[in-house]
Amino acid sequence: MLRLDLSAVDYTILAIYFVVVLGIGFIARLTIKTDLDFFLSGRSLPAWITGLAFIAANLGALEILGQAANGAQYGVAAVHYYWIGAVPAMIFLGIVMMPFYYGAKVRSVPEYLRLRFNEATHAFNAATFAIATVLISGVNLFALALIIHLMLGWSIALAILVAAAIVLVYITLGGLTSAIYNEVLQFFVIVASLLPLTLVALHGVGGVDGLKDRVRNFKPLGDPGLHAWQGLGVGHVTNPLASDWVGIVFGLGFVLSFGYWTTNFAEVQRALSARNMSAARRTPLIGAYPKIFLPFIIILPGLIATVSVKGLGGSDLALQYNTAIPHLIGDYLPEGMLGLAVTGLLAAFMAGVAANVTAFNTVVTYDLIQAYFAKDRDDQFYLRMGRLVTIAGVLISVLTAFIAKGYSNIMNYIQTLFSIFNAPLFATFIIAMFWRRATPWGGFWSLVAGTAAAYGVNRLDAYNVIFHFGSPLSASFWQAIIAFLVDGAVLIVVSAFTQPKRESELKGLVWGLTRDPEEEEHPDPRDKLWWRSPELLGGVALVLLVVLNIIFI
Amino acid sequence: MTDQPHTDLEEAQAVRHANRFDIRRLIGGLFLLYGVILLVLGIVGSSQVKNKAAGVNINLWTGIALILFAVFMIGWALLRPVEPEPPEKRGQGSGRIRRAPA
Repeated sequence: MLRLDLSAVDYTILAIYFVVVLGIGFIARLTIKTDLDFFLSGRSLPAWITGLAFIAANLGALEILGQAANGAQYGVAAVHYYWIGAVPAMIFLGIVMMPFYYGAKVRSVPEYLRLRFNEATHAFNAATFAIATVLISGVNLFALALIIHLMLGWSIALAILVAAAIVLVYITLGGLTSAIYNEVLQFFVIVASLLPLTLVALHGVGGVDGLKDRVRNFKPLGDPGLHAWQGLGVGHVTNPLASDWVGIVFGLGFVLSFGYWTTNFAEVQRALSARNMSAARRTPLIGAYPKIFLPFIIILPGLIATVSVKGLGGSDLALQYNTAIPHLIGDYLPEGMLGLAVTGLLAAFMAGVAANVTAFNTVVTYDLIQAYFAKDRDDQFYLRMGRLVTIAGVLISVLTAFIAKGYSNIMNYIQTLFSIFNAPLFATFIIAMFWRRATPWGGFWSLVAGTAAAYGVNRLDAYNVIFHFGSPLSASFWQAIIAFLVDGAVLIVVSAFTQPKRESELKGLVWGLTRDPEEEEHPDPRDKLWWRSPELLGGVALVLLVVLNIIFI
Repeated sequence: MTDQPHTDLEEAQAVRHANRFDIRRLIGGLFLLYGVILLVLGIVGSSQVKNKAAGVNINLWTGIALILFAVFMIGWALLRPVEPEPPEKRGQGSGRIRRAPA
């Protein structure tokens, strides 16, 4: 039975949290004087806050429930989503790409495209990003409502409206500062509830050895469920993910992951709000460390639930793999911890929605309204606009949440969105940053062609024409690879026939054409400390990754 | 950026405000409250509450851990508070209140 029985103490813990969340919104409002304060926290935050917010923004309902579900369904191989599918891209963002973003003083990812290419590329990217973000935000909202419905028995419609109202209030008041503070708070609450839960659940199945024994004897997972890197040979795939190493390394590890972590503005925005270049570069690097260890409190409980929750993975809504963590909460947590765990899940889910809303309001205000409809107005106009767009964004998310309600498999829906919108974008970015000959129109047509290719492959696969990928997961990897290749090819071919920008216009935007170093604003002598070196932080994270992959091979 | 602090008095006020709104204090305060609630439940709870988590008194142990974490956060905020911006850099936009080092 998934329905949880919350006591008065549990509801008190939940209520305290929401009082604090709304309180942060009201206090943060006092710090907001200009539009830059609202959209980028006045570029004043230290790296540890933006670093935690960087991963917490992604730690929404889909991430926690979806990755625990992957752990339950595919076993240890699900760690690829973290160790291959996230951390390398985060390190790359901090070390290689952030100097271009932060150094160019852009306020959003589309704005970089405007400086590097032209207005057509900028408008196309801003519009597709706004649409994708609001759809994803709706999916997050629906996933949140579904889990409230299953755990607490509220109706789905009521849960959607209550959650949307809370997010609306704290973002409209406090802007990105509110969102980031809540993301950091949420991160600690979720760790404080999932870590003890994992430890007692592991104890409950007989410790690490007990878990291994039970997984080995568990059908259909068996021994392959305990390994990350076995049975991945091209042509004879026997691992639970049903994907070979080419799909995992290039599809998930390169195209999908780099596309998401390095160009998705909901992530990059956290780094852009850091107080100087050094803090911006360290944002994804500091985030990489907790990200490396998240599988131990998300995927591991999923795997434990597989062997300890009877019938998990069945067709009943309350027995889907997505409910792995809620089941463990119900089985193991007494009043008190129960309230903390429910609070952590709801907080994380709302932060996931809020992350999308804050990215949406920034891109719509700066990249659509300011760029094309209302140029040269004063700060207060854009600040007011930002608040109005926030309200509109939340209302549209509520509508798209009701659309998502109609889909039976929301994870496939979201993977489709990501591979259509993010995968081609990464090809354009990586070539734009390293090849100064890439032309403005090359940028535009590559994005159009890449997006169209991803959508085309997705439709062909959906109707079973030509392609056959094994599993929906494997399909999304290959869809991303094809979109990436088409995008890159179009960029190179169109660039060969069109006029490039002058080198003087590309200073600070491409590799090898840097700005003058003294132009860096607000350097802090303490950033020279050896333990604040981005290269060192990134290098140590990479070594950790290799060691962990060898342990779980 | 007309509303940036320009005088020492305004700067001091901005710093006091930033310290009150320091996220380390917010996290510390919230976790202290949660830690105490869990600790009390871990001590006075029924044996069903104490044993539900595979025989582990999870409220007690988590409560202690949360209180220690709260002490760490509040201690960090008190030892390294938000500092005022040096006068020569004041009002330059980003980083106008330099938060305590990470």
